Amino acid sequence: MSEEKKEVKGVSRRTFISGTVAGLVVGAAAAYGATQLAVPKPPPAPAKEPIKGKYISLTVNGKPTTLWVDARWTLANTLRNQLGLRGTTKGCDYGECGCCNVIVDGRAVPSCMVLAIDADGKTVETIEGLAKGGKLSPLQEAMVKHRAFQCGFCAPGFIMTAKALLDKKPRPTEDEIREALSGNICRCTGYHRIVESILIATGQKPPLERISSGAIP
Amino acid sequence: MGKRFVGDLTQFADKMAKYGYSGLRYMGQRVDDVNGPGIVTGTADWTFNVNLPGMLVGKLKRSPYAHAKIVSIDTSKAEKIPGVVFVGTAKHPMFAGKLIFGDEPVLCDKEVWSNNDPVAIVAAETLEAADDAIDAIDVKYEELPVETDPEAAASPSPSVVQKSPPPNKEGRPNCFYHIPLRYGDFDKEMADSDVTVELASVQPPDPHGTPCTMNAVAVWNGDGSISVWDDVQNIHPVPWPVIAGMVGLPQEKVHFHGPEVCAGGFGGKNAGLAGVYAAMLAIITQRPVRVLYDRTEGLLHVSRPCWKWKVKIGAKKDGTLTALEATTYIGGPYGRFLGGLLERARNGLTGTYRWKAVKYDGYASYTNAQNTLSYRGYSSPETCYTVEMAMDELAKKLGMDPLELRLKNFLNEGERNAMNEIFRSMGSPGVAKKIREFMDAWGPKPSAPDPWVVGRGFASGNKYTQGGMVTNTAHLKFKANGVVEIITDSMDIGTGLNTIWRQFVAEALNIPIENTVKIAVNTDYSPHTSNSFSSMATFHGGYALINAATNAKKILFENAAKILNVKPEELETKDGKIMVKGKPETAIPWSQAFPSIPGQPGPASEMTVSGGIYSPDDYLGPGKMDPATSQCLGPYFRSVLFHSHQAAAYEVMVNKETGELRVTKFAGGCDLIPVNPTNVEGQIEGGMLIMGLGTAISEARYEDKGMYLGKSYLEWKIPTVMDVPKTDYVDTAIVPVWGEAHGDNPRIDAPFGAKGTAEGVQAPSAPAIANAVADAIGVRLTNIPFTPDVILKALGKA
Amino acid sequence: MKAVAAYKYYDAETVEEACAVLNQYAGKAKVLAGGTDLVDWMKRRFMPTPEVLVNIKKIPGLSGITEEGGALKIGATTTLTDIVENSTIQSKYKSLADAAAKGPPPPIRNMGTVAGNLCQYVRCWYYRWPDWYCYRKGGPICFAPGGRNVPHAIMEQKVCNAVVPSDLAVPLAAMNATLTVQGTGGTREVAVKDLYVVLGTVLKPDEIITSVTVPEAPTKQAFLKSRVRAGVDFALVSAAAATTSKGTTVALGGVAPIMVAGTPDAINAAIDKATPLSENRYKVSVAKAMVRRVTA
Repeated sequence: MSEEKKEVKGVSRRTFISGTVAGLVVGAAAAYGATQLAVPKPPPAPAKEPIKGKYISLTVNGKPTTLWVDARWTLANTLRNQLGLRGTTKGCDYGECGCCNVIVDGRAVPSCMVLAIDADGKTVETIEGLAKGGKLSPLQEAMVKHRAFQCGFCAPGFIMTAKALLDKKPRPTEDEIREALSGNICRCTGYHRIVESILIATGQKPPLERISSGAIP
Repeated sequence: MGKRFVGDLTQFADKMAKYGYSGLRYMGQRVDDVNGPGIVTGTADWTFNVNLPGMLVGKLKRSPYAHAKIVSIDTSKAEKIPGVVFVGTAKHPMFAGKLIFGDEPVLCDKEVWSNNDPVAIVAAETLEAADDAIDAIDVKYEELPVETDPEAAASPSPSVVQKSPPPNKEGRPNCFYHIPLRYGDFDKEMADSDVTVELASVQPPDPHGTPCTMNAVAVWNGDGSISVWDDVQNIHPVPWPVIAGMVGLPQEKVHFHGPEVCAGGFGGKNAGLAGVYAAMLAIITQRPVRVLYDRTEGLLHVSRPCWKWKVKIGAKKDGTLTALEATTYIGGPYGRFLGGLLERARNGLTGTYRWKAVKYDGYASYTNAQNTLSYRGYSSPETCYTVEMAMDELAKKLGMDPLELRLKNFLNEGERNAMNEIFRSMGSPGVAKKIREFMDAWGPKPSAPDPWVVGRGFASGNKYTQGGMVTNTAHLKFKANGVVEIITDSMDIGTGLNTIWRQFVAEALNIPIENTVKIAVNTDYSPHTSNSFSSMATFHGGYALINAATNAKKILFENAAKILNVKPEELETKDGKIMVKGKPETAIPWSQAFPSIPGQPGPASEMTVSGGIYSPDDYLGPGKMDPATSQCLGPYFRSVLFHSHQAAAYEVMVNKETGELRVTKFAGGCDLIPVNPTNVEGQIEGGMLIMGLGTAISEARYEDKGMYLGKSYLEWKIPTVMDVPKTDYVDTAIVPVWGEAHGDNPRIDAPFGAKGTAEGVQAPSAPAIANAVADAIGVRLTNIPFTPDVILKALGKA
Repeated sequence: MKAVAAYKYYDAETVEEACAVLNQYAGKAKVLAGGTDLVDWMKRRFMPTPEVLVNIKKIPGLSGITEEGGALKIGATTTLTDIVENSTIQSKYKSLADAAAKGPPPPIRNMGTVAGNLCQYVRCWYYRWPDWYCYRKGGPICFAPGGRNVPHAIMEQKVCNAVVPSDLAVPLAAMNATLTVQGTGGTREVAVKDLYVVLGTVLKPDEIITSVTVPEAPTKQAFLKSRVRAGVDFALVSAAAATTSKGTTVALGGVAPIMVAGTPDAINAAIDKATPLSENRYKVSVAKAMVRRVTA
C-alpha cells in the first residue's frame, strides 16, 4: 500500500456535505486543476458567442417543424412539452431505462440524453408515428394480442427500440432482440412476452396460446 | 419450446353456474387487454400524462443524511431565482403536520431520520427554475449517529435511540412492535425432532423501482375545492383521506381522479404522497401543480424494509415436520406499515406446511434505513425465503427428494393450520407437482463449459390475502342501448383489472364483452370497491360486480315476468334480452324491464344497480385472536381471507472464476381459477422473472452510514432482458382450485371461484434461485443478492 | 424529472475553433460529443457544471473508420455502434468490437463516441453523487477505503480508488493504440495506456482527441469482461490481450484508476501485489483468472 493511501485512510472520516453546490466550488477547481497543466497563451477569441437557445428545424414523424429551444431542454422534454407528443415517457432522465427511446436519424437513442439544441436538422420518429390512420402497426398489434406489457409505461421506449432494430433487420434472432432491448427496463413483465411478441410479429415463432383440458394434476 | 399449462376449468362449471355462468363465455378466456391499444400508442391515461395549462413544477429538497439535526435552512437565494413561485419549509403551517401514522413529518423541521427525508419544497414555472431553486436552498446539518441494522436497533441497549420519547416496547427503546405466535408444545416438539436445520438470512431493502416514479397533479378550483390526479393503486383507504386531512378540506372537496392504468404499483403507490405535496402547493399558489419524483427519489422514497431472519426447523426421520422457530427483525425511520408486516409474516410461516409447533417473534424498530411502504407480497416472499431454503437443507439431511418432503407436509384442504385457521382452496400439491414435472422435462443438467457450473432449484410459496379494509361496493349502470357501465374505484395497475372487470360482468350477465365499459375512476361518482393491494381486487371487486349483476337480473326478471306473464324463474337472459327459457321468440330488451320512476309512465331510460359484500373481516381484535399466541378464536378460525400457493423452479449457471450468475431456465405456477389466463401468466412471469429474480441476483442495496449509494438504475441493478431465460425456457402453469375464503361459517366462494395471486408469485422465486445456486456451487448462500463478490467469497476466492 | 444545469451552447465548425473556445473558458468549457456522460453530469450536478458546451459533432472529418498502411484510424466522434458494426474491426480488431458490444446497450452506443468512452468520468458512487465531497472533487478524503468499495480499485490507488470506466481503453491499450490530441498549441500523440493519471487524464483543458490509431492488427487477441448483469453494466473486471510484432500486451480494466497494461508476466506480478480494499478482494482472483484466459 502506498504512502499516499495510508495518509488518506488516516483522515478522520466525515462526509463534508455543504447542502449546496456552491459549497463545492473550491473542490472543483482543484479537480480541474488536476488536468490543467501549462496552458499556452490564448489565441484570439472566436467570432461567435455561445448561445442560450436557438431556433431548430426537425422532422418529426415525417412533418418538418421549426421551433425555438432553450439550450437546457432535452429532446424528450421538448417532444412532450413543446410539440405535445406525450407518448414518449420518462423513467429516469439519465439514459438508464430506455422509456424515452425515440429514433433519431434511423437509430434508437434515449431522448432524455439528447439536448434539443443538438438535434437541429435531425429526423425524429416517436411512438405517435407508428399507427397510420388509426391502424396499429404489426408490431403494435402483436404486442396487444400477446399482452407484451402490463402497466405499459415502458412500452413506447421498447416499441421504438424494437422498431429501429426491425427497420434494419426485419427478422432478428432472439439474441439480437435481447441485445437491442438490453437498455430498456420493465418492472412488470419479466420481458418474456415483449420478446415473444416481436418474434411472433416477425413470423418467427408461433403464438404459444393453449389451454389444456386435462384433469388437474 | 416453453409451455403454458392451464388446467381443466370445465370441472367447475356447476359451481360457477350460481354466479351467472354462461358456459365459460368470458371466464377463463384470453380476452385482449383493454388497455393494450392505448399502451402501444403511448396514449394510455397515465397520471404522468395529465397536463394542465399553466401548470407549475413542484419539487422537494431532500436530506442527504440518514440521521442529522437540521441547524438551519436558508431559502433566500432560491426565492430570488426567476420563475420560482414558492419556497416552503416546515415553518409554513401547511407543511408543519405529520403524515399517515402520525410519526412522519410532511417536511422535517428539527431532525431527519433517513436519507431522502424532505426538508423544503419549491414550486416554479419551469423544471429548470425548480431544480435551480432546490440546489440553491442551503441546509446546514449536524450529523447524528446512524443505525440501519434492524436487529441491532431492537436491542435493549441500542447504540442510537431514535425517537423522543422512545416507544420502548418490552424494554427495547427503539422497538415499537412485537408480534408473537405460539402454537403447540414447541420445546417438546423441537426436542423430539430427529433432524433440525438452522438458517439465518439478511434481505436488504429493495425499492419497487417502477420506471414511472410517484407523480400527481393538483389544481385549486374557484369553489374552494381541489382536483387531484394521483398515480395510485387505491383511493378510498389511504390517498384520498390523507390528502383531504393534510390540506384541511372535507373529502367531498377533494375531487380525486385515478389513472386509467396506475403506472406500476407493487405496493409503492399505496400512499400517493406526491398528491399530498401537489395539493398543498396548489392551494398555496392557487395554480395547477405537478409533483413528479425524479429517479433518485423514486428509488429512495420507499422500499421494502431490510429483513433479518433466524429460522430453525425440525423433522422426524420419515420427513414429518415437527417444529418451526422463527425470529425476524425489520426497521425503518417511520412506523408506516411495519407492524402489519410482522403480523402478515405469521401467515407466510403457517400458510404452506403442517407444523406440530411454532414459535415466532417479530420485532419492528426505528432505524435510519430507507423509508418503507407495502411491497409486493407484503412479507410473504421475505418469510417464505428462509423457510424454503431450510426445507431444501432438511431434505438433504434426510436424504429425501425436496418435492417428496414438501408433499408429505403440505396442509390439507379443510385442515387447521398453526394459527388455528381452517384452510381452504389449498393448491400447493398440484402446483408443486406440475412445476417439478416441467423441471424434470428439462432433461439432465447440461454440461457447461469450464468455469461455468449448472444448478437447479425448486421452492414453494404462499401468499395470504387480507379481508377487511374494504366496504366494497360496485355500481352497474344499464343503458337503454344495452351497454353496461362498470362504476368502481378499483385501479388497474397493469394486472389487467380493467379487462377482467368486464369479463366478470359480461359473464355474469351473459352479454357480449363489447357492451361493457369500465368508467374512469373519480371519487365524484366512484364507490369504494376493492383496492389493488394484497392481491384482493379479483376476489373482493369481482364479488361486488357479480353481486350487482345478480341483483340487476332479479329486478329485470321481476319486471319482465309481468310483461311476459310468466314467473321470474322461468326467464333467462342473453345478449341484453330477456326471454322465456328456450323460447327466443319471446325476447324483450332489458330496457323494457327497467324499473319506472314512481309517478312516471313506462320504464326509466336507464337503471343503476349496486352490489357488494362487506368484506369478511380479518377477525382480529378482541375475542377473535389471542394477541399473545396469534391463535384464531371463535367460530370462524380465520386471520386472513384466503391463501394462494405457488411454486417455482430455476436453472442457473455460475462462473466459478468471475462469480457471475445467469438464470437459464424457469418454470413457475400458481393455484387458482384464472379469469384471464394471459393475465395470470403475466403475473407469474413478471413476479418470478423480474422482481423475484432481481431480488435474488442483482438488486444489491449499498449504503454508507444510511446514505444510499445505489440511486440510479445503473447502480441499483434491476435485471434486464439479458438476465432472464430465453423464451423457449419459460414454462408457466395455472393449476385450478376452487377459490374460497378460509373458515366454515360462512363459507365464502371467490367470484366464479377466482382468487388472486399477483403478489404470491414472487414468494417462491428467490428461495428457488438460492436452492439452485446451492446446487451449482455446493455452498449454501442465504444473504441476497448473490452478486459476484458474494459468490466468490463463498467459494473462498475473496 | 431533472433539468440540465444552466450553460451556453457553442457549435464548432473546426477543431481549431473548438480548441479556441475551450481555451477561452479555461476549464469551464467542455466538449459535447455523444453527451451520454456529460448530460448526466449536467443533470446530477455532482460537481460544478461547465459554463459552455462545445459541440464538436458537426466538425467535418472527426468521424469515420479507415485503414491506412496497416494501421486502423478511428475518428474521435465515431460512435460505438459504428465500431460494433464495422466489418474491418469485426474481422481484424475483434477485441475492440467485443469491448464496444459489451459496453453500454445499443441506444447509448448509438450516441456514445470513441473519445467520449475514453474520457468519461469515473463511476465511483461517492464521486457521482453531490452528497459526498470526495478527494477527486477537491475534498479531503476518498470515501471508498472506509466505506463501500465492491466495484473499486485493487491497485495503483494513490489518492483515489475509482477505476477507469472505459471498456474501449482496455483492448486499445493492449493493442498499443495512440490518440491524436489537438490543442491551441498544436497536435501531439498520447498512448492510450498513458491517457489516465491520478484524478484524471493528461488532456489539457483546451485539448481535444481527434482520432485513435491502432498501429497494427494483432495476430492474436481476446477481450473478457465480468459484470453483475449480463447486459449494460460497467466492468467489475475486464481484460484484453493482443499479440503484435511488439510482443504480447495485456491490459486490465476495472482494477485501477489508471490503465494497467504490460507483458503478461508484468501484469501477473502486479496482480500479486494488489492492494484490495475491504470488499473487493474478489477482483484479485477474477483478474488472475482473466489474464490466464485472455493469454491462453
